[in-house]
Amino acid sequence: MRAILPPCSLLVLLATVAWAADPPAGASKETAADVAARALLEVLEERQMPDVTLAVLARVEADPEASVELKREAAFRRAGALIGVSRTEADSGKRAKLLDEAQASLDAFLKSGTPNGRQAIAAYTQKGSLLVERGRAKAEQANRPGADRKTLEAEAVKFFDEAVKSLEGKSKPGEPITIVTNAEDAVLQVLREVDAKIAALKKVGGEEEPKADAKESEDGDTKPEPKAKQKPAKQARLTIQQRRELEALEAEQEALRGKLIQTRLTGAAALFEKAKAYPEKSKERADTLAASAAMFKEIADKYPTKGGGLFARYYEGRNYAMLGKWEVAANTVVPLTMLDQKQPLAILLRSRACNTLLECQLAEKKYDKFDASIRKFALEDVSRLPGAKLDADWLGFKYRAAKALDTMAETLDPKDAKNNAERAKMQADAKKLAVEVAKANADFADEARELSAKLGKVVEEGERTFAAAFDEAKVALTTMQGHAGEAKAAAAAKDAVKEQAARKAAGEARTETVAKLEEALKLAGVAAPLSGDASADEALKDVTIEEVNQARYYLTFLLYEAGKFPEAAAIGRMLAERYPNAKGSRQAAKIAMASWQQAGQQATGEARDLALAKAAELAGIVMKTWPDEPESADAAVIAIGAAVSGRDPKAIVSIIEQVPASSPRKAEVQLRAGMALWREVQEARRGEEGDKPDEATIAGWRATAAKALDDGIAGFGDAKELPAPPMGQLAVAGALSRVQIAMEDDDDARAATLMQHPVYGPWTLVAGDNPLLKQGTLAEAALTLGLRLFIQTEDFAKAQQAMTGLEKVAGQGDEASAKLTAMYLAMGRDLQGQLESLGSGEKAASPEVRKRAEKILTGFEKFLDGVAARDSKTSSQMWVATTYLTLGSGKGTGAVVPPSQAAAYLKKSAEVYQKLLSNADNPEVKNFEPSIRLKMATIYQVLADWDEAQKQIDWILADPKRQNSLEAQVMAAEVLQAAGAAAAAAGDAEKANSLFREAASGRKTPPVVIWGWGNIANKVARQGIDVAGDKGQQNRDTFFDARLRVAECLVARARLPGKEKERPTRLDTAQAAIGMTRKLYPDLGGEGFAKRYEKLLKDVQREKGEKPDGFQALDAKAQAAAAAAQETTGATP
Amino acid sequence: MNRRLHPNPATGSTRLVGSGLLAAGLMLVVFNTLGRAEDSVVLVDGSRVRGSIVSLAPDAVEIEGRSGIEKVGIAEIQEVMLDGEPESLASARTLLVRRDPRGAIEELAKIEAADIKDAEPRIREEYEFLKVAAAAGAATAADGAAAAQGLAAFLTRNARSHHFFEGQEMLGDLYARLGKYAESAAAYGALDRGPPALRIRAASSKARLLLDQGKAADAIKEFEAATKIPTEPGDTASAAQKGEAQLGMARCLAKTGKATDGVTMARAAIRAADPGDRDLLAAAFAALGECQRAVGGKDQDALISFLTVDLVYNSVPDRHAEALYNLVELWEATKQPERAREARQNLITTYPDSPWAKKLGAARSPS
Repeated sequence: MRAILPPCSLLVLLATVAWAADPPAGASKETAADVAARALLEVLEERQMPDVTLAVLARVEADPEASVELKREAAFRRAGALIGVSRTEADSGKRAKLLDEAQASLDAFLKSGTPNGRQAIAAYTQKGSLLVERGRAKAEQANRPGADRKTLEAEAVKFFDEAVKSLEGKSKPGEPITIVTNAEDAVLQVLREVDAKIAALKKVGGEEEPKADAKESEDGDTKPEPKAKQKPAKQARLTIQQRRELEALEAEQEALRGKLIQTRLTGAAALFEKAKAYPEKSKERADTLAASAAMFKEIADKYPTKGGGLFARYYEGRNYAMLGKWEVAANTVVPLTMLDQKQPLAILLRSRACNTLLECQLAEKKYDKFDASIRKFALEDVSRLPGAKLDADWLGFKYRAAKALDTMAETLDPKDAKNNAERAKMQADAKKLAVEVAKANADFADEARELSAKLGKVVEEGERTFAAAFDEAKVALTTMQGHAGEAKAAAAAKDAVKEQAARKAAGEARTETVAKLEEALKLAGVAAPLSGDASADEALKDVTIEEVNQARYYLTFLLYEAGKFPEAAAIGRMLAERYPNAKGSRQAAKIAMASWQQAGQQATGEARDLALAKAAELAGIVMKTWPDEPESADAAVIAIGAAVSGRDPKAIVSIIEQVPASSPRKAEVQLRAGMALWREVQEARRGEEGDKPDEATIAGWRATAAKALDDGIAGFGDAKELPAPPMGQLAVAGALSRVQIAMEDDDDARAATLMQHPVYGPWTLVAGDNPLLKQGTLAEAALTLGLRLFIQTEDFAKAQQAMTGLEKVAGQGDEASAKLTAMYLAMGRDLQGQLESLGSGEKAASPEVRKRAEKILTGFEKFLDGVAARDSKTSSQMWVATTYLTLGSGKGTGAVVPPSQAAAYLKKSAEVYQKLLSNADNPEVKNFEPSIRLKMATIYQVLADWDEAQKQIDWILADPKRQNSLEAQVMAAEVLQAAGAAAAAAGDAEKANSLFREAASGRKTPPVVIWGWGNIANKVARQGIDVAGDKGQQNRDTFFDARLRVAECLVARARLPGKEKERPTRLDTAQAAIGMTRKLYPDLGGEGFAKRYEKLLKDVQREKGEKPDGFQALDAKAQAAAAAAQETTGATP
Repeated sequence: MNRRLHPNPATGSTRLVGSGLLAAGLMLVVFNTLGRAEDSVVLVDGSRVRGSIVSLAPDAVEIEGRSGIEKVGIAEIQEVMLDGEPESLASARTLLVRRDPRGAIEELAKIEAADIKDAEPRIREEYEFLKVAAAAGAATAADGAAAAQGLAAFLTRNARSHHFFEGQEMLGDLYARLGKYAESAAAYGALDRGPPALRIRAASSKARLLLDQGKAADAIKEFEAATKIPTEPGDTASAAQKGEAQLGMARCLAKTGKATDGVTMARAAIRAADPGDRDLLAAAFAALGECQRAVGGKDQDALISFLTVDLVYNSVPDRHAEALYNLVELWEATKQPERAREARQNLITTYPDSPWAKKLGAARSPS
């Protein structure tokens, strides 16, 4: 519990004049620019905008026309601004540095010459406050577990001592003040000057000089005021100007007296803070508290009627209470508990004094001293008291009042019936107070919850109302939070039993809270609170819509916590749409979005898609409703997630356009969106012709992706270090995507700059062993892309370094080689994509493109040949072989890699693989022989060397363990179908017929069993083609491809010469196969497959001499069949 | 009379000796004690002249106080308060001064027809003026023509009203909003019959019209002409208007690729300004901010200029709204979304009908 106002609050409360605001006395005339700058600085200080203050000060200092006075003040003002900036600095080291700088700035100002009176007051006061603040920070550090308490305590004490030195005066009454070294003397010096001027003017006006024994002006509290009636008469001799001057001086005198009290209070408060830095019950602590009490007492006695004097009296009492001098403390604060003024200051002091008084009375068990007026004051609604807020002191006061009332009620004689009414009233008041403290869930919350639970059993219930149920819900909520905190602490302490018990208790409290909130809302007239029902909102019963919405907001949160996502989302969405300005609506909307995300993660299939769609829909609402709030930024991230998951490039582009410039997560959204869109571009390019968006659309997405990535990367500005995860990873991943685009653009310089950026450059980080890129896909991507880039730029030293890096990332053991191969393949795919991109579009055949491709290929050839010759490691040889395979087998690279060159690459690849297989004793090679042979089968297939391809497949499938390899079986069927096509083309119809048949139906002769397309489709269907995720998609694609190929093989066989007899049957069978597939799976695996199926169907229709209507004919046949059936049965459709 | 004009003790005023603050204070005490009502003329510096209005004319108001009759030039007057006018009439006038014409319309609607019917002619005329002026202030493209017609009709019927010049300026503003530049220029032209401060003001308004039409070079010439209108020494109202014209030139420079010259000009205006002339300083810092933004790379400087308007010189609604609009953009650019939000909120709630709030709304609307 906080026991004292921080010194800065004291300063605020007691400040009566803005010292630094006044142009210094004797200052030269200032221009409007100076006046404006000073006024702006004042407001900025008042509004606590220290960062802007620093910017304004920098301009003032650089302005040759700014006044000398204004420039001189800059050092002092900078100190204040630096202190302000330090308050928001989370890093304790940086904070201490800012405070050091502030102190240095203040010292420089004080040493720069003799500051005039007002500047000295402000500077020494500022310095004192700064030192108190630093002392408090050290004291807090000292109290942390594991801290070097002794050292930190000594440092804290030193700061407090310095603070006192900067604040406390050295001069004695009547002595002239020649050198000012502290705030108090600075005030006194100016005050004496003002006193002298007032006296001189009054003398001119005819007043007598003050008597020699009159008290000093500083004792303004006791100084007799001149009689009101005398004043005009006496001052009548003064000119108007002199009268005005006198009025101004008297106002200044009053302000200086206030400042003097303020300075002395801050000095005493510094001692109070110093006492708290010492260990409890230590002699030093007791001595310092006693000294602080004495200082406060002196101030209180000197200024008994001023605000500062009353404050001093309260702190005098607090000191006694902390010393355990309960009776003295109580007697000291009692007069303050009787303050009945309505000014904020009086209310503040009274609440604190009451709190301290009750603390003393409870400590001494003097319950009978609990006064009726204090009881009434405790029961006040704090929000209705001017300037008051339910802070730690009020909570302490209310809890202690509840405790006192409860104890007093228990002491009433239960046998005496006369006491019943009084006891009931006391207990009801005590419960009210305890519930209020428990609801606040801050200081004394645990004790108050316990007390309210106890009183709940004895206090009689009245009629149930929304307010009563809502109050109970709030208390239950704080109970839940308490248990949740316990669970967290137990988890940290690794006490599983305690943690489980606390979690269970928290869950029970949550259920209770939800029930109470539901009850409260029903009492208000909401029929179905958990469904987001707002139909009765226009006719609520005895409750405001604000309260109802607050209850709804709580429900949103609690239902989410309870895993009731649809309910949480329904209420959250209703609040967002209907009450966007209600308190908590933004948070509720955020919870609603999270609810649908969670629901999506826990569901599968359609339910999952529905939940994600709802999350995206809600994100759209949030982005439109609060475009500039942090929630909108979160929504944009969610919407991006949904768009990415839904593979929806248009939605991604739309989100990029919607995200507000001011969004705090703009960079994140841009990076995520840019990367996703770039992936979509790559995917779109891989699509079948006629099945992919047009070139202009893809180019548009690509440009948007590049810009989003540029903007997202620029969002890191001049950051000196990589942001913490996940933003750090995102920055690197974004840079990698951008590098890929730059490489495609033949902008190797830009790609290299991005790769080697000192902060987020993927190469810089991976080469520098940054922990973020030591392992994982990011490291792999950085190395493979780096390898490609450096080969392209013929920086082979770095390329070799990248290869070594890849081997390191792949690690050791059985999995290492497979991993490395996968990485090389990924790199190969990217390279292929790059070549395909070069080979597509209008400029595909242009000399520039050819030159560019040649450069890439030359670089690779040089490097690959070098590696193949000098590096005999299996991994290196594998890489060489796979890369040549990639270069030679790209489907869309024809324009940039001539067929003859492609064939040469494939041959090179096969040679390297063969060389590897010749070393079959090598365990690594042995382990990966099936993969190598599968690759070789691919190569020989492309090279139309069917026998060699089949040889490799036969080897693979000869082992029964490998016969279930889908990849090998698909390859086997592909080879058979392709060989069939080649045989047909060569005029060998029998061989072709046999091969097509085997491709469709398989080869059953052991030892090599080939499934064929039909069996492949059946086996894949059994694994499941409707499961979510990549696996499901892969199965779907394989299934529909295999079914289509069955029909293709039938059509191919129907076309063979010499097979005319079987032709109609085969065409009918093919048509029926297509029709059946469509009947069972109307979407035919997506638009791309559907087009291929319809094309084949049209071919069949043509071959049969029918009108090539495609699916239309199938539909017409189906309708006719249905009509015929209806006619036959007479059934109504 | 014009709420945006500055005091001009040198022109048109025949105030008698002895009407200082103290005397006014004493008069207030005496009149209150006696329970006597009175008219009151509020000057642009906030001070008041109380008494019984003798005459109301386009160029001056004559009021008879304890010291005799005082003639106050129209350029000096902020507001004329009439004895016996309904409270809502005075409130509507205040709202109109604060650029809240919709609020003024609501306030005028509270006045019972009978109260106006039975009121003395000058109050009826005041009511009529406020009605058409509020309608003109709140008019949109849809009802702008009707509002302009109403205001023009009032001015034709009441060519000797003390609201004449103010009304003409409002009419010019309305036509400008409606894009009727020729009619607008004609309405502003009526101010040429007024004292020098109004003539300068009319020229500046015409220059702004040219600027709105994208004719920045012509606008500069018009502003320059405004600064050359002959005035008497000590005519501070005219001097202030000339200062505003100079700032108009600075803004034109910002729009014609000479923003650096604009910055120099705005800074010179600030240096030359009377530190107490808050309205001029508001305009000067706003113009400086605009020029700094136009220079490019000076967002932080522009931010400080607009912040000076927002936090120090915020009594001129147009300039304050402009500053808030710019601050929204600048805080966003400097990655201070909370401050941008606060500025936006301030603009939307304080000046919901201002063109700056609408511009902000338009910028935020999805295309």
